[in-house]
Amino acid sequence: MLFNSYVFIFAFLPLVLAGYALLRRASNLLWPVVWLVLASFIYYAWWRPEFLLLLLFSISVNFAFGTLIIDGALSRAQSHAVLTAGILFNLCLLGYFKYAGFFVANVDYVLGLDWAVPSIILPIGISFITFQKIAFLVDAHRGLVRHFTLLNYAFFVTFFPQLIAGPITHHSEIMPQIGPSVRRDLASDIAVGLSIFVVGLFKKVVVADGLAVYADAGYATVKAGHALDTASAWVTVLCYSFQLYYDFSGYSDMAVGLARMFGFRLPVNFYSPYKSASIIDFWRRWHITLSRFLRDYLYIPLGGNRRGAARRYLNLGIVMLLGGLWHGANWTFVLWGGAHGVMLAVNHAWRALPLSRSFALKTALAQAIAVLVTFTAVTLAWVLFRSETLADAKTMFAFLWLIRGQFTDLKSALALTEWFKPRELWPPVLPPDYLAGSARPAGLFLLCVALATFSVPNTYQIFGRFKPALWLPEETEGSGILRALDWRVAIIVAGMFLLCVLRLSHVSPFLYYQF
Amino acid sequence: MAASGYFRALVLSLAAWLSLYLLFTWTVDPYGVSPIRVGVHGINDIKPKRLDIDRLIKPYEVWRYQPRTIFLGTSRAHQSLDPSVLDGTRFAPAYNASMPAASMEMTAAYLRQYVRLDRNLRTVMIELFLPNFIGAANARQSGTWSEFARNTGTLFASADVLWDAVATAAYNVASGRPTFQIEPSGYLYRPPGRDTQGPFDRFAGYIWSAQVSEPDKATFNEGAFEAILDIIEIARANDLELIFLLGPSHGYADYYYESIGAFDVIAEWLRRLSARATVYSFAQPSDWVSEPIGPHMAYWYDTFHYSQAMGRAMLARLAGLPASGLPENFMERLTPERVAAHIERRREAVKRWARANPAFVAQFENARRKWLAGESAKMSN
Repeated sequence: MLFNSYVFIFAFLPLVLAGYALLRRASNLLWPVVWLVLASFIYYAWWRPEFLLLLLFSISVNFAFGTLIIDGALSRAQSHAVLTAGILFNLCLLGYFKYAGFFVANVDYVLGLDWAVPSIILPIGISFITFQKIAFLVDAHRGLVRHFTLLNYAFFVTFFPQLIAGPITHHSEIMPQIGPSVRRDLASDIAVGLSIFVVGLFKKVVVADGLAVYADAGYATVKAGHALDTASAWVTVLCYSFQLYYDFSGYSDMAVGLARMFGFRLPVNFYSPYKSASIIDFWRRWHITLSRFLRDYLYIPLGGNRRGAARRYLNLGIVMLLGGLWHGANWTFVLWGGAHGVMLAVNHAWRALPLSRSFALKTALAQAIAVLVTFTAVTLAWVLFRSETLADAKTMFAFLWLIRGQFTDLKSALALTEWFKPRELWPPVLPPDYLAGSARPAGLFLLCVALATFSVPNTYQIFGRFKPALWLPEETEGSGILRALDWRVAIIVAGMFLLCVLRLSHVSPFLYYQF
Repeated sequence: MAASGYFRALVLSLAAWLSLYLLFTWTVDPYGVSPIRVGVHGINDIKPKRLDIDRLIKPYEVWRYQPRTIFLGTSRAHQSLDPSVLDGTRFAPAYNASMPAASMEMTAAYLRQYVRLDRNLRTVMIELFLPNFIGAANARQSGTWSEFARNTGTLFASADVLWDAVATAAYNVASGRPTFQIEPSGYLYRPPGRDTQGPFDRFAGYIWSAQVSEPDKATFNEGAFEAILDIIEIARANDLELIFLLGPSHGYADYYYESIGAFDVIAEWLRRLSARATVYSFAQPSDWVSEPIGPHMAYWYDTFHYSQAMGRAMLARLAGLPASGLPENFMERLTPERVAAHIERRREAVKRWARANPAFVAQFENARRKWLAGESAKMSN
C-alpha cells in the first residue's frame, strides 16, 4: 500500500486513526499498540500477503536472539556470538532476496558458467527492516535496550509510517514514546501530523511525479539507443536529481506526519541536503538515519578515523561502496557508492588543509559556489544511480559532455518552455497513454523547482514549533515559521491536498521503496 | 486556534477549493466534456487540448453520444471523415472514433469496447491502411471497464484538467487563432491554408529513414488479419453493418508499395477480406487521387493523408447523397473477383506516374540507396 494512494488516504488511514482513538480510551494501554501492530501487518501484507509470513518469521527469530542477549545471562563472549549469529541471519535473509540473482549473474560472467539466475521477488522494504533489526541486536548487546517485550518489539519493527522506507530507528528512540503517546492530545497531533503529511504528499505527487515524466523519458531514450541533445540530457539528469530529492523528502515528511498523528516522533531523515556546501554536509542531511547506521555500525567498528588518514579514507570507501550496494544489486549502485566514497575522502582531505579554513571561503559568494559545486557533483553521481546499466550511464555522461551530444541552438536553449518535450519521443520509446495527459514543457517547471529547493525553508523549519521530529538541528527545534495552525494554514494545506488528490490519478511508487 | 477549529477551517477550505476547481474547469471545459457546456467567447471557443488526449476522450464520447455509426481507423480517417456529412441519412448520428497510428489490433479492441458502450450502434466503417497489411504484427489489445472508468475519471477530476483549463483559457485569450483540434464529432480539424508541397517533397527522405521501421519489407501481416477476423466476428455477434473503406492512395505512396513488392500482399489481403466483408475502394486511379502536387492541393494534405474534401465526397457517395464533379470510378465495391483488376489498374497507373515524374523517382531511388548503404554498414558493424 502506498501513502500516495486513494486506499491509504481515504480508507486505511481514517480507519486506523479511528480505531486508535477509540482504543486509547481503554483502561489497558496495550490495546492501542496492538491495534497499530495489526494495522501495520495489514499495511505490509497489502502488496503480497505471503511476505507477511516472512516478516513474522524474521521478527520471531530476531526476538529470540534479542531475548537471549538481554535475558540470557550470557557472558560477553557468548553475547557476542549470539549477536554475530543474529546479524548473519538477517544478512543471509537480505542476501538471498536481494543479492542472489546479482551474485549468480556475476559468477556466471566471471567464470563463464551457465547457472540459472534465480528470479526472486524482493520483499518490500527488506533493506530498511534488516538494518533496523541489526541495529536493535547491536544496541541490545551494548545494553541500550529497555522495555523489551514481544509486542513492543513487533511495534518497533513494523510501525507502518516507517516500515517500508525508514527512517531507520533505534529501539531506544521509539519505546519511551509508547506510554506518553496515548496520553497526548490526539486532535492536536492529528492536526500537526496531517499538515506535515499533506506537505509531503504534495512534494511526492505534484513535484516528484511531475518531474518523473521527463526523467523517465530521457533515460528511456538512452536505453532505447536514441540520441539526446545536450540540453535535453541535462534536463533529464536535473529532473531526476530533483525527482529523487522530492520523492524521498516527500516520503520522509509523510512518515513523520503519519507517526505524529499517532503521537510519535520519528528521527529527522532529510534536512535540505541540496543546500549543503560540501559532500560531508550532504551526507549529514540526506538519508540521515542511514548515514547514522553506517557510521555507528560499520564505519566506527572498522576503525573510523582513529587509525590515520589513509585508513580513514579506506574505511569511508568501504562504507560507501557497501552503502551503494545496499541501495540495489547492481554495479551501478556500487559505482555510485564508490563515487561518493571518493568525494567524501577528497572532502575530508581538503578540510585537513589550512587553506580550507581561510576567511575568503566563508563569504556568502564562496558558500553559494560550494553549494552549486556540491549539487552538481551529487547530481552527476545520480546518473549512475538511475541508469539501469553502466553502459547506459556512460552514454548519458557522453550526451552531457558533448562527446556524443549536440548542442541545441542558443535560442532554443534559452526558451525554457521549448526544452525537451517528451512527446517527441513517441512512439519509439513510450506508450502514447503515458504522455497523454501529463507531458508538460520541462524547462519552466524545472526552474521553479530549483528556485524553491534552494530558497524555501524545509518542512522542519516551517513546522519546527510543533516539534515534528527527533534530533532536529538546534536552530529548528522549538522554533519555526508557523506560530500556529490557523485558517490561513488551513487554506494552503487544503489547496495542496486537493491538488494532490487530483494528481493521484497517475499513481507511482516511491523510488526508495525499491531499495 | 484549537485543533477542532483548524479541522473546520480545513474542511471549509477544501470545499471552497473544490467548488472553485469545478467552476473553473467545467466552465473552461478544455476537453469538451463538461456537464454544464458553457460557451464563453474568447475564453473557451477553441479547445486545443482535446487533441492531446484523443484516446481518453473518444470512448467517453461514444458512450455519451450513443452514435448510430462510428468510423474507426488511423490518422487518414481521423483527419478527413467529417461525420456531419451523414446528417439526415440512415447512418446519422455518426461519430469519428479513429485514432492516429491505430493498428488493426487496436481497432479491434476499440470496437469490442464500443459495442458495450454504445447500445445505439448499428454501422461501423473501418478504414484500411495498407502499411497495416504489410508490417509486423502488433500486440493484441483489450479495453477494460476499469480502464474506461479510470480514463473517464481523469477527464473530470485530475490535475491535468486544471492545467489544461488554464492552457485553454490562455490560448483563447492570447491567440484565439483556429488551430488543430478534435471536433465534437471526433474528427481532427486542420486550420486551412497549410502547405501541401513540403510533405510531398520530403516523402522520399521520410519513407527511407529510421522513422519507418523496416521500410523495405512487404510481408503478409497475419496478426493484423486475425484482428480483422475478430472485427468481423464482433460485428456478426452484435448484428452490426460492417463496411471497410480502402481510402485513396496517392501515386507517391503507390510507387513506394510497388517498389517494395507490396501489391501482391495487398491483393492477397483484399481477396481474403472481400470474401468475408463489404469493402469499398476509393484507391483506384482517378483525377482526384492523382492530383498534381502543389502548395495548395484540393484533395491531399500530404502523401498519405487525403483532404476533408475527399473525405466528404467519400461519405456522400457511400450514403448515396448527391455529389457533383466526382470522378466516374470514384467508388467501387471490391469482391474477390474484382481485386486482380483493381490491383492491375493501380500498378499500371504507378508506371505511368513514374514516367511522368522522373525527378521524384530519382530522388526516391537515391534515398533508397542511401538507406540500404546505411543498413549494410550497420550489419558489418
